[in-house]
Amino acid sequence: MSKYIIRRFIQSVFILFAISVITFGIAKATPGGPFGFDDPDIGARIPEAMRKRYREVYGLDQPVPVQYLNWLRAALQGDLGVSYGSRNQNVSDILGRTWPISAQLGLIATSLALLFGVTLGIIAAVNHNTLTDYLTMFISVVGTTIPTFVLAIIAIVIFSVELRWFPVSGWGTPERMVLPVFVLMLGPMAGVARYTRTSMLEVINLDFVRTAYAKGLTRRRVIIKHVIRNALIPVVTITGPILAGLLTGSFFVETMFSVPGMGGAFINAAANRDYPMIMANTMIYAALIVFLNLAVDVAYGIIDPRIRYD
Amino acid sequence: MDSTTSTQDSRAADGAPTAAETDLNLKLRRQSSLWSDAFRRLRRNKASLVGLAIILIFVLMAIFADVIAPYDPYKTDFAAVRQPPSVQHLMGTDKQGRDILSRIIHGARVSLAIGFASQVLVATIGIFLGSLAGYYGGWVDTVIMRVTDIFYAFPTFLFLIILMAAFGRGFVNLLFALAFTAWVGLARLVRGQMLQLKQREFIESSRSLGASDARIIVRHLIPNLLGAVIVAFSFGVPGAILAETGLSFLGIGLVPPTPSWGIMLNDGFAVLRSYPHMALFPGLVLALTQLAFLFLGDGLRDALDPRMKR
Repeated sequence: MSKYIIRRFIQSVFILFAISVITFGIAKATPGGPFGFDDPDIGARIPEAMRKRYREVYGLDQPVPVQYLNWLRAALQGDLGVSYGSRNQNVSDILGRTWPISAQLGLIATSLALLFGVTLGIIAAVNHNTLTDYLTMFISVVGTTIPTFVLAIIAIVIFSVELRWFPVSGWGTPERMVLPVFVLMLGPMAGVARYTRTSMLEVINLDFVRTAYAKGLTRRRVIIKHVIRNALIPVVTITGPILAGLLTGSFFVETMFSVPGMGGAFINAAANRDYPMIMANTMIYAALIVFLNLAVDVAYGIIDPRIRYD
Repeated sequence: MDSTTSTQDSRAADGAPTAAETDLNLKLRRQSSLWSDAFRRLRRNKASLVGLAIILIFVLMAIFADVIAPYDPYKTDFAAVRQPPSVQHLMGTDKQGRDILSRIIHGARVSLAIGFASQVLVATIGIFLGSLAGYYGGWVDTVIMRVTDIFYAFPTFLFLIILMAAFGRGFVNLLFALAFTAWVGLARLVRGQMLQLKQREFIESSRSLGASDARIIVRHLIPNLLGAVIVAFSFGVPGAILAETGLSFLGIGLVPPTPSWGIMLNDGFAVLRSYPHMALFPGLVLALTQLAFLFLGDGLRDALDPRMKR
C-alpha cells in the first residue's frame, strides 16, 4: 500500500510539472502580451522606454525557458509573483482572499450533493420500478442535462426576479449562498443519485442479502445494516472527482452570482493575460484534482479490504 | 488470399467452402449483423427515439435555416429593441432589435457545426493514436499513454479557457481547442478495445495468412471498435456544444455577431432582471439539445455495446 502511494505521488508531481510547462508555454508562445502593449488603441501611445522598463521589471525581456525557471524557483519558495491585472497586489494575497470563498462554496455544495444524492438514490432503489423511482430518476436526468449556466438563469428568474426570495448576487450571508449552492449542487447530486441507485440495485440481489432475510431480519434492518453499507462503497470513488470539480469548476456560478472567489478571478486573469495569476490558478486547480483523486483511491482501499493495490 | 482474410472466418482458410456452406454463412451473418441488431435494439428504446427525433429537427433547422428563419439573423432594427415575445417576434428581439427565434435557428447551424466537426477531429486523432498505442504496445504505447495521463489530469474547461484566451476567439481556434482537449478519452478507449481485440482468434488467423499490420488494423480492428467509437461520438457532440456555449457565454468563444446560443446568453444575462426572455429562450433550447443527445447516447450505448450495460 505505502509503495503504491509513493509511486502515485511521484507520478502526480511529474504530471503537475508537465502541466506547468504546458500552461507556461501556451501563455508565452502566443501573440499579444500583458499591460495592453499589443492593444491597437493603447499600445501605440506607450513610449518605447516605458515598454522596455516594464519588460525588465517583470523579467519579460529574458528567453522563455529562463522566465519559466525563474517562475518555478520563486513558486517553489512560495512566491507566486505580482498580479499583472492589479499591480499593487501579490498573487498570493489575491488567492488568500478568493480561495476560502471558493472552498466554502465547493465544500457546502459537495456535502449537500452527496447527502441529497445518496438519499434520493436509496429512496429510488428501495422503491424500484414504482412512481417514486421514476420521479426520482426524472429529477436526476433533468439535473444532469441542464447546463449550470442555464440552471443559474432559470433560478435567478424564478427565485430572485419573480418570487424575490433571494438576492441575485454576492456572498457571505446565508440567503446570498442559497442560489449559488443550489445551482452548483444539482448536477453532481443527480449523478450521485443515479450512481447510488445502480449500486443499491446490484447489492440487493446478492446472496448475503438473501441470507440476511432468511435469518429473519426485517426488510428495514436488511436495507440499513447490509445493503446500504455495501452499496455506498463505490459511491466513495465519485466523491473525489465531484469535490475537485466543484472546488474548481465554479467559473460560471461565481461569475453569474458575483461570488468573489477564484473562478471569477481566473476568468479575468485569462482574458487579461495576467500570467502569474493564470499560472497560480491553474496549478492550484490541477494539484487539487490530482491529489484528491489519489486520496480517494487510497481511501477506497482502506474502506474496502477486498481492494488490493500492487 | 485477400478474399479469404476479409471473411473474418478462420475456417475459410482451410479451403474453399462449398456453395451450401457459403449460403449458410451469408444467412448466419445477415441474421447477426451488428448494425441491424443494434438498430432493432435502438428502436425498442422510446427515450432514445425521442432524442433522435429532436436531434433530426435541429439538423433540419440547421440545414434549412435560411428558409425557415422568419428574419435575417443579423438584421438590426433599432425601432424594436428588447421586445418581449409577440406575434411578429415569437421569442422577442435582442438589444439590437434582431429576431431571437431567427438567431436561435441559425445558432443551431453554428452549434451542430462545432459539435460534429470537433468530434470528427477527435475521432481521427483518437483512433489514430489509440490504435498505434494499443496495437504496437512497447515504447509507442508508453509515450502516448504518458501524454494522455497529463491531458487527463488537466481540467478540461480550464485548459479550454487558457487556450482560447491565448490564441484568441473564433470558430477555427475553438474547433482546434475542443479537439486538442478532448481526444484523450477516445484514444484511451480505442487503445483498451485494441488490446482486447488483438488477442482474438480472427486476428491471429488473419496474421498467419500474411496480412500486413495496416490491413489488420484498418480492415479488422477498426470496424470492430466502431460501435464504441460511435457511442463516444454521440456523447462528445453535446459536450462540445456545451463547451462552445459556455466559452461564448464567458466572452472567449465565438465572436459577435455570430448567432451563437452562448453569445445570446451573454447578451441576455446582462439584462436578465428586466428582459428575461433574451436569455431564457436560448438557454432552454440548449438544455433541450443536451437532453436529446443524452437520450440518444444512452440508447446507442445499450444498442451497440450490450456488454457495457450499466
